[in-house]
Amino acid sequence: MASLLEIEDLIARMALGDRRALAALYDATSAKLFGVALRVLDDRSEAEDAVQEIYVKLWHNADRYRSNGLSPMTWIITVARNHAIDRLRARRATRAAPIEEVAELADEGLTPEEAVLASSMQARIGACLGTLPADRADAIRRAYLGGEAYADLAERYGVPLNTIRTWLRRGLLKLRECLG
Amino acid sequence: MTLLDYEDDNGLAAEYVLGLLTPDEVREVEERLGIDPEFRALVARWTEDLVSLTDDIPSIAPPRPLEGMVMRRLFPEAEPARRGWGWWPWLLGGVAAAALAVVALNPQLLSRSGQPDYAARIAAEDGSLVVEASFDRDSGRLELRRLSGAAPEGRDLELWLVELPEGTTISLGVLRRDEATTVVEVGPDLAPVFESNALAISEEPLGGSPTGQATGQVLALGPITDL
Repeated sequence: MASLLEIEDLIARMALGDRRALAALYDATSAKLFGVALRVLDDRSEAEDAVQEIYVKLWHNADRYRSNGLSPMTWIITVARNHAIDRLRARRATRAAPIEEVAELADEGLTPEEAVLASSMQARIGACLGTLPADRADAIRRAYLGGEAYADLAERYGVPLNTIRTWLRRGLLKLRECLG
Repeated sequence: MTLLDYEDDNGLAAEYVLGLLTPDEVREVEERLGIDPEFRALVARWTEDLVSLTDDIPSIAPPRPLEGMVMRRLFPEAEPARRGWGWWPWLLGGVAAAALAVVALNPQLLSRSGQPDYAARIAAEDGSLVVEASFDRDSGRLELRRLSGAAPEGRDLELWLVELPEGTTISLGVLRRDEATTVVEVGPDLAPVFESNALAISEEPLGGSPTGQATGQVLALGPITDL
């Protein structure tokens, strides 16, 4: 696996139109992204199509990466996850908005030190989810990896639709407190 | 118009990252992202935290032709398609022997990994490329062992399942450059196609044919034997 700095360099070169950088990024990241697409879509041929579309998207958006304030692997995996969820929702035809874009979030990106810190922070999310009521932790996972919308969650957990948002937000607040 | 309760920015940022907002709410949030650095930072934190839910998802190598297909999509001018496969029936007919040797297979050589259902020896006439294939129908595992030969410099070797007598071809992936053995997972839909057909190897751009059809020279060919 290439280092975060190497990945960042590849994205910068892609932004300048360097096709070899795209090939190198594909070599370094396609197995992870295919894994994520397969997990979300649970269908090999759909995941194969999704992976192609994801790299087309990464190529076209590489010039905007610097402004989005995310570590490089977070950006790449988030683009992949969002694209896979959009495909999954198109298949299910649910109500929530498409989330194809990764918003441009901040003016400066993480330094490598911040990125390392972020990755050790990230190991904690599993532990923090463990401090929530099991149904809420499960609902957060289902929204993130299963693309489930509030209506799906309300039905699944037997929570009235008009209180599902409050129900989940309590969990999200607790999760944020634990993550710091 | 304000649809959203801004008192819980933390919850809102998380909902945005999770994809739980309606299209109208998303538009409102994205307008705010453009002007509110603190809210942007909240969204960035949720994005970094939630992405770690993918940490334990195993990496799975996609089939190598995908890389060629990505390049083909982005740079269609770079790799013009050369020809179709209309000549497959011709190749597999009587004239084939002149160009490519079809070598009889000794199934005992192939029983190393369990009991394969089908096997093939895919060979060039002059022995410059020899690959043995064994396929286990139940597991969908196709194992390829390169006994001699290698990909030409800057090219990959791509494996094709050839349906007779039409000669239509299905890509099974690209052989590993660095190792003699390549294992391909074959979907259950393709397993029946192994019956009474053939395998072939062509040389292709790195990552495999960008078109889904062979664009380079066919180097080796072998009929599939039912064991």
